[in-house]
Amino acid sequence: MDIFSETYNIFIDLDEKFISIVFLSLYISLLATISASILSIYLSSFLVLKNFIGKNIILLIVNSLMSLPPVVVGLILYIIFSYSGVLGFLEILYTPTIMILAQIIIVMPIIISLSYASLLNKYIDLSEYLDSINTSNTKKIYTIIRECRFELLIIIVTGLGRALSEVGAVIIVGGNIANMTRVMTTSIVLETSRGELALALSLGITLISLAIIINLLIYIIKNRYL
Amino acid sequence: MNKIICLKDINYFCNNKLIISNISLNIYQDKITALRGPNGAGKTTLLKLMHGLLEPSSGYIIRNYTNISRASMIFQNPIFLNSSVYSNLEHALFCINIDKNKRKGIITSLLNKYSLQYLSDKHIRLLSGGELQLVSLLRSLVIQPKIIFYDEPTNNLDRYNTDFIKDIIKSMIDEKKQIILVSHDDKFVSELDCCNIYLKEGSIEE
Repeated sequence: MDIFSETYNIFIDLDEKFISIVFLSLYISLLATISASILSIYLSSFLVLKNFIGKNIILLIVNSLMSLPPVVVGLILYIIFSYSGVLGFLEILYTPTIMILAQIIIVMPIIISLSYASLLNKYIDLSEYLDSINTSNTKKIYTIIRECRFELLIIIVTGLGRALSEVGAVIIVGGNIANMTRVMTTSIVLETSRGELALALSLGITLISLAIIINLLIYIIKNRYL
Repeated sequence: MNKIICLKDINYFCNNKLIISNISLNIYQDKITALRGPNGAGKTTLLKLMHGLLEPSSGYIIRNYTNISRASMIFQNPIFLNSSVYSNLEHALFCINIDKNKRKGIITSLLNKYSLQYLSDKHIRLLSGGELQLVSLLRSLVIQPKIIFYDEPTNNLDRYNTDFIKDIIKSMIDEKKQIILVSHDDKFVSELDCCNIYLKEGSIEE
């Protein structure tokens, strides 16, 4: 059987191995993106509202971290969480937990940086009005987040795309263990090296499909609400 | 007459440029105060200083109303939330901690009072310039302020809307609300019984 027929069969038979890899990928990336989004939007709001010494340095660092190489994140986490590492006693190396943590670290700078720009523009527009009725900082944050909700959704979806396509960090900290830490990207690396091209190709097609769906979502949101 | 705002030796610099120069004046209760003068005279800056949106570079301002009543500001170019008129009015009440179950009643009675119910469900994006000015005024009134700082009430308005806003201002005076406005519409100001303060190049013109 040629690769394409095998790939076709994997999709038609809903191959158990294939499905479990896809679901684990989605679980890890969704959880990482949701956690990163909550933390990042909170931090961005704080940065928008507060002026303090060193704020520009923080923003510069965050912007620089947008291009942080995932393998470096994986390496640093490996050193920290390996059995001889500072936090080795937590025993989370080679578990989905540390893969989620790695993806949070990779995705957060992107969401902070983009949401900061979006929230700041809205705050500049609304700040005089909000100050004029003497509203609290919590309500100011609520207002600007609500006003930017569609832009923020696009940013979150962008972060999800980054998390799903990430391979360098999760392969180091997850170890690519079958049925436990093997996700789509790490499986493609492994199955390609083993010559199991049909499974690699079906996972590749799934990843591309997810990327198209994500971009379609962004397109719909942009056209309908912005 | 009671002084509600007292300004003493106020100077205000913006980007090292003197915008307000050594102004001392008192604003008295139960009298509309109109800040008048040519463009760039510092009227809007002085209004914002009076409200508290800007802090003076030197001098001091005493506001004798802050503990007992609420102030609101109506901007020359107001910015709204990207939603319906009702949502914008509700948001103003949300900002001043009015219970959710009381908001609808307050908004409905305000819209009924000025026969503007038709605006309620309209989206801000679909309103004309005149309607936006009205919504800005409504958003200011919905929080039931005692003092209203009003920047250019007749900006971009036709005769009909100018008269309509003038009538609303007159009804506000009847309700004992204090109004401090900025305008260079001489006809509009002359039709209201105002205490005029003329500004020129950041100073009060004698």
